[in-house]
Amino acid sequence: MKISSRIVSVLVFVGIIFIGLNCFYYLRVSKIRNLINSQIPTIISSIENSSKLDSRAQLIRYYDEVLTQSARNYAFTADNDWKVRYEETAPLLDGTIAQAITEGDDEDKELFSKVDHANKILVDLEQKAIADVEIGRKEQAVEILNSSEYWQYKIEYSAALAQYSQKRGINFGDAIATSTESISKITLDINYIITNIFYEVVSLVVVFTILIVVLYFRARKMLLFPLGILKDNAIAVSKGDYSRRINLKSKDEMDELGQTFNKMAEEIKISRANVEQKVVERTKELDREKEKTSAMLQSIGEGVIGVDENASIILVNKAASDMIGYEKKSLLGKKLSQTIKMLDTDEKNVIDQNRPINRVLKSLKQETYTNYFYKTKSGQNIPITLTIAPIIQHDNIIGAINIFRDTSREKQIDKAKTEFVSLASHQLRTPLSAINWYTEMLLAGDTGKIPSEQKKYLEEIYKGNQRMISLINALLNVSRIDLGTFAVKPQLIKITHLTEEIINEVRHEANKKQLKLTADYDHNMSMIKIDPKLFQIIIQNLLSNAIKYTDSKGRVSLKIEKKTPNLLITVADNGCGIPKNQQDQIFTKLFRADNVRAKNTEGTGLGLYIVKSIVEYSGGRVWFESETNKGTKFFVELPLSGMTKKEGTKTLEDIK
Amino acid sequence: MDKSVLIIEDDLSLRKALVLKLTKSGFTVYEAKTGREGVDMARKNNPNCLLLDIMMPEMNGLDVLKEIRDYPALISTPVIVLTNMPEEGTAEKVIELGGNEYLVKSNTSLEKIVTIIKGYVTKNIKNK
Repeated sequence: MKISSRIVSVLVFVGIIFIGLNCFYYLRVSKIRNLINSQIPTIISSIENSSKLDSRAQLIRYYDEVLTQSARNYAFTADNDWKVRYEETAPLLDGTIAQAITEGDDEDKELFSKVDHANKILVDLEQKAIADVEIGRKEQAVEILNSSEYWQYKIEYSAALAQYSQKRGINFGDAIATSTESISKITLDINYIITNIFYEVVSLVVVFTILIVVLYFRARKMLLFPLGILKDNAIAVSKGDYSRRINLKSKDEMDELGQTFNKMAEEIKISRANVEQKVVERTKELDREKEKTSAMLQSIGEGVIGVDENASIILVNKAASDMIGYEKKSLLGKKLSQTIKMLDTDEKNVIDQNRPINRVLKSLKQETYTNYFYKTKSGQNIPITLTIAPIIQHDNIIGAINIFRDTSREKQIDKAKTEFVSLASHQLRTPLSAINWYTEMLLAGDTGKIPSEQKKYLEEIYKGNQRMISLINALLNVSRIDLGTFAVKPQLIKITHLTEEIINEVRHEANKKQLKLTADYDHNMSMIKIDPKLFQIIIQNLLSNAIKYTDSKGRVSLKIEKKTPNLLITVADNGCGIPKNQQDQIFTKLFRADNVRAKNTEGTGLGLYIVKSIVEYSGGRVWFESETNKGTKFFVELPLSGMTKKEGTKTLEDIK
Repeated sequence: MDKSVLIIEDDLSLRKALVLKLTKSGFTVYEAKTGREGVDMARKNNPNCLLLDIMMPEMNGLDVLKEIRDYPALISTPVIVLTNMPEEGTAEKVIELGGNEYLVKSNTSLEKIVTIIKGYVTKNIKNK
């Protein structure tokens, strides 16, 4: 049976008992009421009756007295009021007597008949007397009222009433006695009933107490005991013992709860097993991934060293340990900067705070470095290209990956290439110098006067040779720019002097074409930190382009002004301009626009490439505005703070 | 006024051009094909000016410069260094070792060389 039905049954049972007991006691108490209701009114009415009859005799005496007095007073005074009084009272007395005769017992009837008889005679006499008064015979009237006949009946009348009163007195006493006896009996009965009720209530208290105790133990067995079991099992399950089962066999809610609990434990057991299996699978997958990653890391040619956020080594691949000669085991857990020594281009030890790894862990930006060496375990310095990528997880730095490779061979190739270019240029320059100098001597007339026709030819040879020399110079510059080996060496100089020199150099060409060449710059301009050679290359390139691509009698102007925080250089001409559709290629290496090609002008297509490279390497920018056949304006912006210093192994060639 | 120039240059064609031009310009010209020869001639002839190539077999221009500056007589003789292969640091090294000019041959005309030499020689003679 279910706990809920049990509780309901107990409640119904208790309710019925309660209602029953209430009814029972109601009946018990109503017995007392019955006793009182049935006995007390009888007693009271018998007392009341006795007293009522007695009062009737009193009333009769009173009325009689009133009549006698009224009749006498009328007889003596002849006052009509007494007569009225008399006539009013006489019927009342008659009525009262008549009522007493009908209501009384037989003895009463006989007595009151005597009273009635005497009364009637007395009334006759008194009415005679009243009639005498009315006709003025007062004396006769008084005589009647004082007659012995009148008084005889008066006495008879009183005697009958007295007899009645005596009798009533006996009856009243009897009634009181009877009532007292009855009340005593009722009191006894009530006492008996109340005593009984007391014993019954006491027994009921005992019975209920026992009942409550029994119910408590039942409830304990039904609720607390299974709850305890459930609690123990819940604890066991929470500690991971999923095999525990509850069997209460009580077939109630607790039992159901137990069964549900068992099911739950079973499900947990199953899902736990699933989770464990999944964990095993995921772990396997992760292991596979890890193996793959590690195989990849181990097999790539680049050295890989992973560090945590404190720059302690957590990962080293084979290439890394091969390159630097340290065993992987001897590196793990150690600080990178304290284990593998690093040198800069001057072969000086790089101090901790300047180590790229520490810089990247601070800046959180990926960087690539090409100017460092790692010192191997055997003490050899190997040039490296090092890329450091920070590992950021949820906005927090958790480490970094160092990827590096030994660039010894690249450096060798680079060196070989540079050497080749240098050598080639040297080899080319020597014969070019020879052609240059011998033509120069011929033209100068060192070997005697040259016929003018031949002189023209010689001049063409000389010019062609000059072009070849310029081309070699430009190619050397481009190769140095492309290799990144050229240096920017800013020094504090006054640019006015430098600019004048450049203008003087190009003025010859301008004059030949009758161009108006103007220069506008502040002669009091303060010193600025720039590489004079690079500055010269920039201005010279732009000016010679402007002169080259402007028709005779045109205008070329140079303007240098301070536009804080920059120095703005403007070279403007009213020449042939750059075609719109080719403007975006103008800075491309070896590119020459169609309109200038068509004009048979000289040019290498390298000048603007070199200008742009120099300007950008030194921290500035270059741009232009141009319209075909109207002219071109080139703008160069260099920071007033000066050019950015750049280390390099080569200086750029002067161009002419 | 005796104006003498010593040319130390391994390339025959260039050496000849320089000899011709300088002779034509009125100088007494000595020529040397190698660095060693150049040093010996400089000591022997004590010229007013030296034209010195850098890239030469066995003993290069820088070594020549270093050695001649060890001789008191040649300590202040103007030395004009000519090269066709300028390398980073060479110009600085030339100045450091006491060279007076550093020129790229292909970028410099004979006329300019003569003008420069004349300038130095005049000063050198005055100082003497």
